[in-house]
Order: sequence, then structure tokens, then C-alpha cells
Amino acid sequence: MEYYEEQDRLTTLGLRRTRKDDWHHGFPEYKVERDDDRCIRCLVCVRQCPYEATFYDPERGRVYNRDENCVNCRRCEMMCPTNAIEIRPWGAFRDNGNWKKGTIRAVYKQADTGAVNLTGLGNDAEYVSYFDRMVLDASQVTNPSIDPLREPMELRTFIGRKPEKWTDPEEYPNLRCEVPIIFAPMSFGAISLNFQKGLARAAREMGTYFNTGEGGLHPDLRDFGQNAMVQVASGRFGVDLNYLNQGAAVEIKIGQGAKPGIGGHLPGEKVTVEVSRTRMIPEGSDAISPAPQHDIYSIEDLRLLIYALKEATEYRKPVSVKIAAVHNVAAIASGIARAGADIVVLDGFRGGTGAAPTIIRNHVGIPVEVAIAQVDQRLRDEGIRHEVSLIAAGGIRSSGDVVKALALGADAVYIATAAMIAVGCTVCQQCHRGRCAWGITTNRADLAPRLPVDIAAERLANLIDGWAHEIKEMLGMMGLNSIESLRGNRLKLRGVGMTQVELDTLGISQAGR
Amino acid sequence: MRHVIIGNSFAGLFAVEAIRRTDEESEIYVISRERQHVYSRAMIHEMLSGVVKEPMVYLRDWDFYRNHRVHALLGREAQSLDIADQTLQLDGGETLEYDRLLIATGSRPFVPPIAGLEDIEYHTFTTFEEAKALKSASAGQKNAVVLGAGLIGLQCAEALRHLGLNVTVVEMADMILPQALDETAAEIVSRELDDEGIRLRMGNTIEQIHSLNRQPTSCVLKSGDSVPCDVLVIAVGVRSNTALAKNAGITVERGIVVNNRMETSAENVYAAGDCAQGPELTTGMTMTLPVIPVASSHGMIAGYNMAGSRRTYRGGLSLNALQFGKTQVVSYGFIKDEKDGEVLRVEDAKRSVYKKVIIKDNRVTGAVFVRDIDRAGIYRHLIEQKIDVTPFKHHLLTPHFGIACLPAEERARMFTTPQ
Amino acid sequence: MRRVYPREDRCINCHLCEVACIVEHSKSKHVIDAFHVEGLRFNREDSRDVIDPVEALAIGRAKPLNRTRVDVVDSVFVSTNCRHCAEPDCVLACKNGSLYVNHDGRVLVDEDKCVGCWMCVMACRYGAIQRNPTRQNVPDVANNGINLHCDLCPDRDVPACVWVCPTNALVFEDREVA
Repeated sequence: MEYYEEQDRLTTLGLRRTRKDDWHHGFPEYKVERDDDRCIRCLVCVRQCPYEATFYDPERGRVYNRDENCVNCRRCEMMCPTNAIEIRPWGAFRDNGNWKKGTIRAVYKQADTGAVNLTGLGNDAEYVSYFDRMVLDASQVTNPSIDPLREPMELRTFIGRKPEKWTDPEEYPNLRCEVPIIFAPMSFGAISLNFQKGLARAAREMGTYFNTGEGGLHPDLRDFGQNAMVQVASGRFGVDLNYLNQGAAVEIKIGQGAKPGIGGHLPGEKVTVEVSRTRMIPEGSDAISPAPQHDIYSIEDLRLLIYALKEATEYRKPVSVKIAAVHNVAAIASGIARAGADIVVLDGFRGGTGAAPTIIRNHVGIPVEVAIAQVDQRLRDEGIRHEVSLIAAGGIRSSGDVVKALALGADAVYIATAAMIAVGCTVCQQCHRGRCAWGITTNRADLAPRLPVDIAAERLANLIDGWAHEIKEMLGMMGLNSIESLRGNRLKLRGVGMTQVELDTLGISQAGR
Repeated sequence: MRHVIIGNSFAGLFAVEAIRRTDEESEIYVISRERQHVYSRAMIHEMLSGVVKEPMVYLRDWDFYRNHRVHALLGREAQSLDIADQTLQLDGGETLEYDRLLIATGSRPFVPPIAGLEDIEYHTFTTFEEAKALKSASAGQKNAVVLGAGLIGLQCAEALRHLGLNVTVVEMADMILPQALDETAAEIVSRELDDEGIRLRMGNTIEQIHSLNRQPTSCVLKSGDSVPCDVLVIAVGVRSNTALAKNAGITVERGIVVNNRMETSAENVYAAGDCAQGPELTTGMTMTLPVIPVASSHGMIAGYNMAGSRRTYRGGLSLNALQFGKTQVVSYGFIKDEKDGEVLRVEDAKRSVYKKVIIKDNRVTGAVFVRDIDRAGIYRHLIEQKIDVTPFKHHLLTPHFGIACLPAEERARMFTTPQ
Repeated sequence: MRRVYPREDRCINCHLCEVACIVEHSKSKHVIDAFHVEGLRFNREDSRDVIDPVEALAIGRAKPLNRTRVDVVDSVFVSTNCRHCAEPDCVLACKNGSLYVNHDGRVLVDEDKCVGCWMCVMACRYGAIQRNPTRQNVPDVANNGINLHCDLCPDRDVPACVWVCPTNALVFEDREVA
């Protein structure tokens, strides 16, 4: 909207009256506190707020807020040159261990709109985190630690199907990964082109990979094909022969941790001209991917698709299959390995999304920690662990989580939310609205420039670099000097505060034992 | 190489600087009838009224001629020119040879025949000396009459008013400042002058001047009434000083005709400033445009070409920035010429704001701004570069009009390369 | 010669460049004092009802002292400031020679000499010159003031606007072809 028309419209404070269809705005979640002594009326906050929560009243010469619109993205706080702003939670319902604020507001919103409540990013409900209940071993006297400053630490790993005995490596295409951290699938449309370019460049610089998600591969990213995993999802957006051959690997997306069993959803507001071209769909229309892939109704169908893709890419690229971690994930993964996949990605229930119904995001799926442990163990028991690499995804927050995931059995991890936070995301969970104040999950022309490509690339590379150094330190601390020695090495983990069943499911011992 | 410049105002000044930027070695002579250090003719009315002190009117520091190694022959006159021999005859009999000559002789006031004029000491108002003379003459006087409501006349009138005299301005046309303004803008400025106590007698002229002992006592107007007059200023217009060129056989029309390199019809002779008739941008015709930015540009281009650096002038434009009372006005091009054009206007009578843009063939050919003059220069760019305004016409007179409205290629050209 | 060049693809319409410009040219050079103690403000369209910088000053509305200015139309944002042209239109138009090209190439104004005639405002094709009402060399003339335009922050290594920009949308470099 034209900037000055907008200002005229928001000038009057007006009388606020909670309407019968707007109760969820009737109780604002956040209050924007502004220290007026520090406010210099520069209007940076006004210009930066994409949620219409901040405006300037020229007659009174002051900045005001529509607090009911504030989503706590914190952009104004960060940009204010005098640190005059603090956003605080506003008001509280009576203390109730059962009816929390979020649950109450969700009911208001549903009663207001009759629609499905959507949200972005990962499960924010208070489930247990097994990562936070595991601790790592450290070497002391009997098994000395290795000094990473003196000894080489190998973080390099190869992702893909491994042969049983030595053979021509060409028959077993693998992804060479200098660090076992890969950027998770995030589609162009869900994220901005600048962010995706940043991921691509950081991946190339750090010797790892990024994943196109189901949004296709934008022409500007063609040069990064060697570091790209191209995804074939149920909507088949942007999929053609060129697309498949441009990437280093092809990934079939069966599901994702944030919304297992249902398809992807890109709201129409986020389908700009560029997005529509890359996905090959009409501009402004919702891009809904169907729940199942309609040509995969059985494991045999999956095998057909996997080999169709291998034929199309002349068996030169590993084929990955991504599933959400759900009940019975071990049997599913075993089936997928036998169907010919080279990589299995397990996306736990903490995985993020650009848009999903809140109820599904918060209540469906299982933690990736137990999924990896179970799948790894099952494949070993069946003697087929070498047939696939396992990638753990869904809420990997730190290098500590990475090491634990590898110790549980993963070959590598996917990170997405962490990558977004690295470039400024404040986890406000408004990705689906296409108004990301940080330029990460929007392609709107006035917002997308907020994340310049080289700043994104640099920060992402820094993140990977920092984690890589920490992983080296932890390896040395454990008396190991390579990722290969860490993979599936459950002995390096101990549990705290878990039941025996939980310990058994993860395949680890109690701390102290 | 010897460069000789006749004239010591804006055109001559920028010529000197352009020559020196290109060539440290050659000789430069500047000849001027006026004795003063290079000064601004546009400042003499402020010197007259006393709102500025004399040092403010000089265009460069005292050591300008020395630093630029210029032989300044001030208070001297070039009397005749021989373009075949490439020599100038100065007063006092000297002959000065030149390799390149720039005629920047400016303009002189036109004095019409009026009954009784030859009996008095009347004033014209174009030079430093004339301003000083007028200042002495008006000391202690009560009534001034200024004939002519062009820029010079009105500025003089305002200055005299500031000094406390009753001032009447008599003008033949129906509007003031006919070169710079249109009817609406002229109306606003007239109101301002009225508020200042200056009496405007439009559509009128002086038929007869009565005097005593060579001092005027009253003026009889065409309308029949009589205006008391102690000081009379004639400011009905200027004529280019072309006699030197004309007598030498150089092509002269209203001014000395020059091409877009400021070359005259005579080899190695250039002309610049008020005396020159050069190309005008919006019409493609040649004309005299006696405004400072044109004179300066003429001089600079002439200087470069004289020094061997081939430069072309993109063409002049009528450019005005003036202020009367608290009313500033900026105008570009021919703003009365609305025929075959689309006119956009904004008026706010309460605050005396008036903005108008004339668009022909999707390009701006004229614009005027009264009081709200911020960033008016961008419109100059639109006119000079003949930018197609169709994509942003609706933004043209809005408060937020700016660089962001221009097409992306134009913005890139202006802001991503050195200018 | 190094000049400030905007990168439109990076600009996020925050106007922090204007803030930094004002602070750098203030007396206190401190962001809060500059605004709350010295009373500096922005020349802004919300002062639309007041046309003149001097009038605006009189009613406490604006002391327009940001020399760089972000132009905004729809989703186009450009930070614009003086180009320090090699043959400046403003110098060619200046009524009394107060505008000049400095030996280092910067286009500057003699603040003691400028008479506020606004020929430069008329002449500048980039709209880079504003009217500064906080200083008047000819007080007897109404709505006087002096020229205000970017001086490339002579006291800094890198101009304040370039330094503050959160997305490096302003670059300070030499783009002249030798």
C-alpha cells in the first residue's frame, strides 16, 4: 500500500470496540512499551512493522501502537536506534495448569473465524525433549581425549547407499559432505529467494548441501546445482527432467515432521510472480500439495518411483526419501531401504514448516531422537544398515543435538529453524502470513530486501563453521577423531531423568551406569 | 596559445575556470568595461537595499585572477574586432592579438524614448556602479517610480521599498514577470508585492516626465493620472551587447548566434552568456536566455572548446528562481505555453501554494512552483532529459514525488555512476 | 573520488541513514541529545501543512537537517544524496559563488556566504539540496536560510549513513573509470 496513504489511514487512534467476530484481537498478546524519552520519532519502527502494529500520529508528534496486531517479531526492537522499545506479554488469564493462554486463544480464534488455525515453524508445545535428557561421555584417565588443535578431526562423511564389499564407486553415488549438517528442505515461496541463495552459497562454501523443498529450483540457483538436493513432493511443483538432473541428489518427500500425513501448503499471498514461475502455478493461488503422492499407494509404488528417478538421472545421483517420524517408523524405514532408496530422512515432530494447521503441528508425530534410534537399530538387526544413510531432522538446535543425533545412529542432520534463526528469525510463528519482518519467509518486494544474500550466506556459513568446531571439540573430548566413529555409538550417550522404557527405546544406559 | 575573454561576469568566469582546468600553460586575458572584481549582477538589488554587505556580491576570492594566472584588464574597453587578423583594438590604442576569443559582453538596458526623459538623470539598474549611484540618489527621497515589472524592475522596486521610499511600478503588460511566470503565479506574487506596499500599475506606461533642475518631479501615465517621482528607474528590458561582433561581420540576430559548441560564425571566436543566442532545449530553436545557469554553462562549454577539449552544450532552458517578500518561485521552460499540452496543477490559495506542470507528447516542457519549491530540480531533469512521464504521471505533483518515481534505468543512471 | 552510491536491492526503507546523518551533523553527536536536547527533527511529509522550513521551525515542527533522504514510492526505496558532480549544476547556478568544488572533489557551500536565494534548489537535478532554516545570512529576507546538502562527512573515514545502514545498502567507493 502506498506509504503515505497508509499513514493517513492509521492517524486517528479511534475507539476500540471488541466485535463479536474479533475476540482473539480483543485480548492482545503483546504490549509494545516505548520509552518516550528515548524515542526520537525517527519512524524506523513504523516503517519496519509489517503487521500494522505501529503508526505515527503527526498531530500529536508521537508513535503509537495497535498492540492487538503485534506478533512479537521484535523487528522494531532490533532496529530502534535508541533502544527505546520493549515488547512484553500483555495480561494473563487466571493461572490454570490445564487451560493455558495459547489453548484459550485458539478457541477464541476458531470461534471467530470458523477456519482452521494455521501457524508456522515447529511444535511449540511442552513435550519432552530427549536431547535435553541425554548427556555425552567424556574421556578422562583411562581413555584419553584427543586434542583437536593437534590431531586432525574428520567431520567428512558420505551420504548414500554403501556397498557390502569393495566395488566401483560409480555404482554407488554418494554425497560427499564435509560436515554432517545439511540445510533442510525449505521451498522458495515459503522462504525468500535471498534466503535460499544464502543457503546455497553457504552450502557450497562449507562443502555441504541445501534442499530445494517442494518449490522447484529458481533459475538463479542453477549454478548451485552441485550442492542442491532437489525435492519431488506430492504437488510435483517445478519437476521436470532438467530439474532432476541439476541437483546432486533427488529427494522424494512423503511427509514432514510438522504435518505428517498431510500435504504442503503455500498460502496465495505468498505466491508472487517469481514463485509462480518457479513452481509453474498461477500467481496468487494457494499452492496446496495433496496429502499422499497420488502415484504412491504402496511400498511397491515407491520402488517404482525411486527407480524411475534413478533411470531419469542415469543412476548418477542418490535418491532420498523423506518421511515424518511416526509410529512404526522402523518398519517403514526398512521398507523404504528395501525399495531402493539411498537415503532415508526422518523428520521428527519438532520440525518446522512455512504453514500448517496448528493442531496437526502440535499433536502429530514422534520425536526424532527415538525415531533415529529405532530405525538405526532395526536396520542393523536386519543387516541392511549400509543400504541407506539416515538423516535426522526436526528441531536440531545446537551442535550438542547434532552429536547426540549422530550417536543415536544418524549419518547427518538437517537443520532449518536453526538456519533461520541464524539470519534473524525470532520464532514468532507467522511465516504463513507472508509478512516476515526479517525478509526470511516472504517474497514481498518491500520486505525481501531485508535479508541480503551475502549477509545470509555469511551468517549461515558462520553457524556451520561454529558448530563444526564445537563438534570437533566434542569428538576429541570423547576420544574420537572421526564422525564415522561416532555414528550409532550409543555408548557415548547416557540418559538422565528417563524411564527404563525410554532408555531402552533409545538404546542407551542410565547415567552413572 | 592566448585566450582573450571580453566580459567579467558569469560566462567569462566559468570560461576562465574551464580553460585552466584543461590547460595550465596558455595565457588568459580578461577585459571588462567595469572596474569591479568579478561580481554577481543578481546581487546588486540586495546591495542597494542594504540587506547584504558588499563582500557578498563578489563571485570569487580576491586572489582569483592571480591564482588562475589571468591578466585582468579591468576598466578597459574592446572597441573593435578584426576576425581575419585575429586582433582586438582596445581603448587607448592598443592592439591585442588572440588565438581564441570569447565575447561575453552580456546585455545592456534598453531605454525607450519618453517625453521628458532626456531632461533628467534617470537610472537603469544592471551594474554595480548603477546600484551605487541609485543608492546615493535615493537617500532622503520619498517617491520612486520604476518603469518595467520584469525581474530587474521588481527587484529594484523591492529594494527601494526596503529603503523606505514609496514605490510605484508601471508596466505595459497585464502581468508582472511575463518571462518567468504564468498568470496564476504572477497573481500570487503581485499580492505579495502589494502587501509590501509596492503599487503596481499594470497595462500602463509613462507618457511624460516632468522635472526641475534635472531631477524628476512627477510622471504622467497613459491612463491619465500623475505619480509623484523623485527617482526614476527604467527597467523595461535588456538588449544583448552585440555591436562589437556585428561590426566585425559576425552573424548576429537578437544575440550573437552560436552553435552548441558556443562557436560563432567567425573562426576561433566564441560567444557566451546574455550576449549569445544559443540552442534552447525544448524548442530546438536558438534564443537568448539571460539567466545565470545558462550563462555559466555557456561560459564553461566555450572555455573547454577554446582550450581544445571538444564539448557540446545540451541546450539551454529558461530557468528561474526568485523571491519577493516571503514568496519563492521556481520555474522552468515556457510556462504560459499550454497549447496542445496536458496541464497538471495543484493550488492551495490559503497558503499561496501553486504548482503546475505542462506535459506535451508525454514529456514535461514547463513547470512552475510557488512556495513549495523543495526538490523542484528533479523536474528540470525530466525536462532536459525528455523523460517519458507516462508511468508516473499520477505522482507528479504529489508531496512524495521524488527520485523513486523515475524509471529504474534512469535511477540507475543517476545514482550508480559518477556524475 | 569516493562517493556514496545506493543499492536499491538492499534498501529496506528504515531511514536510519537519515538518523545517522542528523546525529553526525549535530553538536552533541549523541542520538538522544541531538533530538531531545538540540531539538533536531526530520523534514517530513507529515509537516505537509507547513510548506516553509522556516515556518515549520517557528511552530516547532521541523529542523530539517538530514542531508540524505530516502525516497519512497510503493516498493521502491532509494537513499538519495548529493552526487558531488564533476561539473555541478548548483555551482553553475549559484548567485554569488558560495557553492564550489573543493580541491578533493567534494561540492561544498561556504556557509558564511550563502544568501539563501535557492538557485541551487532550482538547479540540482537530483533534488539533493534542502533549505536549512537554522542559519540565515540575510535575516531581513523572509523565509531565508542557507543551502543544506551532503558534505560526505569530512570528519569520518566513512560517511555516517554508510556506516549505519543495516543491510549495507549504501556503499562508499570510487566508481570513476580512469
